[in-house]
Amino acid sequence: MISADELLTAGTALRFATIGSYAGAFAGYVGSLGAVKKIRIATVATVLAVMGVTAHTAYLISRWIAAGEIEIAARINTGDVLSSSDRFWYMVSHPPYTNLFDALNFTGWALMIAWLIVQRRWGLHVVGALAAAIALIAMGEASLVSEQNIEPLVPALQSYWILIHVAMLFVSYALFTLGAAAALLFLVRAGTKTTVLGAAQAGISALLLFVSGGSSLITRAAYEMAPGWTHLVPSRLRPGKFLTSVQAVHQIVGEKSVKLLVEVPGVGPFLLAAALILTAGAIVYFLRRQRESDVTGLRLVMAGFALLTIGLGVLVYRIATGTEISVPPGVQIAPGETGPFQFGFASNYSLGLVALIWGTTLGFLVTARWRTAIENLLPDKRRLEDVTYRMVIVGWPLLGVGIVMGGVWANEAWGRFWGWDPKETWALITWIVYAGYLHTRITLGWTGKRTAAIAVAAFAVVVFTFMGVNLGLTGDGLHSYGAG
Amino acid sequence: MAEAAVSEVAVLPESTERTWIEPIWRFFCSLKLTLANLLGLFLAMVAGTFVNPSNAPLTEIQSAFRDKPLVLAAYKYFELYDLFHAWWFTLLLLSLALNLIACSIERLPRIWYLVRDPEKRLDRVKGLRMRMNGAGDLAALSTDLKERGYAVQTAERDGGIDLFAERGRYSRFGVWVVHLSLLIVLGGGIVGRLTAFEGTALIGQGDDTDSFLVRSPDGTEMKRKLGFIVRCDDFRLKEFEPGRPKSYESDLRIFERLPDGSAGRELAKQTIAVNTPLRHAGITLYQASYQQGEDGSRAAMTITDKTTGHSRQVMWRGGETVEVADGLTYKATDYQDDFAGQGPAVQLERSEDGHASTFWVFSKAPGFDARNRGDRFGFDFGGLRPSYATGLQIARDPSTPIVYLGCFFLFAGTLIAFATSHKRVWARAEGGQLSMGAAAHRNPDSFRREVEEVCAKIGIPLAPAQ
Repeated sequence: MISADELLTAGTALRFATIGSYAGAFAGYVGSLGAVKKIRIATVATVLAVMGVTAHTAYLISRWIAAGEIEIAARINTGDVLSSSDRFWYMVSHPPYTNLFDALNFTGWALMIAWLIVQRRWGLHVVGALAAAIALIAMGEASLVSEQNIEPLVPALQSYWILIHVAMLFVSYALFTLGAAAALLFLVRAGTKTTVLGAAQAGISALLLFVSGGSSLITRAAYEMAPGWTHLVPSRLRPGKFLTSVQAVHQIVGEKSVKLLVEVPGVGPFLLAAALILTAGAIVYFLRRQRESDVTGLRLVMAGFALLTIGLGVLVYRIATGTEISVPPGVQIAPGETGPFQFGFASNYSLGLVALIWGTTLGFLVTARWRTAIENLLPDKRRLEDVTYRMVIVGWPLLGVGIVMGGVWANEAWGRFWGWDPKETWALITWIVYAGYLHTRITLGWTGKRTAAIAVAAFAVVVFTFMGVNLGLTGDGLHSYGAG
Repeated sequence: MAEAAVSEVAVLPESTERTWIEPIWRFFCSLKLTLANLLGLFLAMVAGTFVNPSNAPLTEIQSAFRDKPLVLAAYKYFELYDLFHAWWFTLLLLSLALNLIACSIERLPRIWYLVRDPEKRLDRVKGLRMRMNGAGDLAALSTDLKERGYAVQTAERDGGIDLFAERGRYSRFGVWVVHLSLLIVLGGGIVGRLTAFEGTALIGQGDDTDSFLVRSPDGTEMKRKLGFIVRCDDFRLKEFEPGRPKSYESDLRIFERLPDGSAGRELAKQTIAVNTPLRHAGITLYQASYQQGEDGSRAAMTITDKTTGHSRQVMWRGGETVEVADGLTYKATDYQDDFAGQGPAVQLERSEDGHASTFWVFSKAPGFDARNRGDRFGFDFGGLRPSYATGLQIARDPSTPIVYLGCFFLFAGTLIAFATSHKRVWARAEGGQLSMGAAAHRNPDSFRREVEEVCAKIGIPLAPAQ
């Protein structure tokens, strides 16, 4: 049997192969839109996407087996005697989506699988370009996660339900993402006015910026993030060696220990200014929504985007260089957590959100600038609409089953089917939003821009369910172990 | 839903009676109410995850908003400290339930009508998107459709033959079943609200309890009786390494509670862990948390009865007296980290009929005490352990089967609604000419391919899609 160490090393190579293939596929799908010999380039892109998915699948399997071997080694090292059925169970008990790093990689994989199925049936290479781009963003963001080690699962996650419940939810999120990408292209193709797109895009971006910054951004122009601390953990595979493990810093407030949030120097003013200017841009666009496009609105969004770029740049710099923080006076750090405290790990959720806002704003600016050219490249809008609908009617039941499976697990582990825990509640919110989408479409017979707009807006809810709940705004709840 | 033009549900004749109930009924049937309910639930649930993120009880919120009377009043009046059980949130769910009931009652006869009494004549069907004409053989069409699993009916009329074939008509019930299932889940929720309870109990190693603590969201705590006695023989915190938990386990035993409050017969015995609870008499005991005891460490002692060979483990507190057999007691009187170079040792005092004697038990010498002391019982000291109290979550929820039943119907209904389709084919043969029409209520693309195959077989060109 191949050792876990070798599997992890091979996994790293497979992961890079995956990223490379997806990048090639992305370039191919984009190229096929404008090229003369469309078919040939599209074929190359498809081959690359299939290669990427193959490498990705191999990567996930290698990671799964490695995790299984680590689970077994951890038990043997602590004196357990395992029967062969125990061994089998621990081998499969740790699927590759139990922390943020793995979850992002897994969701990217599900997205690309869904895309290949869509491509077989509908073609639509432009959706493929977006799918590959989103998968690349997910995996790129995973690369920034500092906690990439596989650790044995905590007792709460040691259950076969994790194999069913979590995977279903992540697959449904991937389907909704693809559906939203198609819906967005539909809106552009269907001739939604640039002013209306701009008002929505800038407005939602500003809102999300304010939400991710919280009250400290609004009142003090300070952008706060959770720093992490590094400690050494004895390796279970190579006794005598140590692994570095990064964890969030906690402070003691009253009797509880909560995640510490401190200001990231040099980020707040830029993000606050960006949020304000984007708000202004949204208002200008909204007031002039009768026009096709508007220069003032576009300039405001561009200015906001420039400020956002600087803010994001500083943010990435602080995380990449591991800027050390000093503990603010009056803060009592939880016992056992020792410095240096650095921006890194737990900051990923904030970074992810800001990067997402940056990406969508860039997407909007590109669309606004080359509107006519892009519109002409896009395929028949009815097919785009069809893709969105198909993704939802598969994703929605899957989400429902996933939620119910979570309830059954909760009933078995905690004694209640439903407890209004933030993650549970947000999953149900997502389900309700898509139920709304289906009712407007099937029962009311809405089609076109209105339903597409709902599908795009619903994606914001999916993102919040996947990542926002872990920002620390809604309370940790019982799912906080999921992504650390 | 390209085929929405072919009515989803049959249109019943409008009632001409005007009664006072009519507008109210229409209101609860309306799709606008459905969307308003969904939007209301959406906003309320979003708010619910933000207004009280740490699940603080009302008492804590009162002190947090001492200086903001308006905010505090809002929290109190709208029960924002426990939004998901607030009166207005319940009203919202009730409105959704009424909406679902009204829609289901309204729909059922229409679906029934459509399934039992379908329109069988091509010339009476309106809004068909798939129509074709040509010289073709009705018998061949009929055979082919039958092979594909369609129920085919033919009737002669005015010198021609009408054909009606359909498949998967019960697919029409899918959406109805989904709505029904949601009602069952909501009903389960009501039953749960009325009958379920959830509380906690903290039991030290070797202690027992016959009650548990229920905390209500307003901050008050209430003691409830269990109806039996639960004893925690041992709690083990296993770690992969310090700070990395491997498992939390409690050895529990359940005893009958006698009228005087003492423990009677042993009713159940189980080691529980985080994902494996103990169920007894409709009540489930979950491993939820633990606490390090405040009364010092305990000695892990194995007591072996030499006459029978039976042994049991005791977590012995310093100074605690254990009655091992009738009139025979042992008391832990002293502990030494290193007794005369022999490592950790516990001193026990044996008392029987007023006679007392002391002896030491060494952790490094298992079996030594049993061999060297002439006594019915032998002792083995397994070392000093930190004392723990196990934190149990104690819950009863009779609504769970109802909720599961609802979820089962939800899956079944969704599967029927989205994965199956009611397909219909109409045809009329008159003077060697065959006119055809076809419709499916879901997945029109794959149905179009199926119809194309059928047409190709009998040699009729399919009109292009509109």
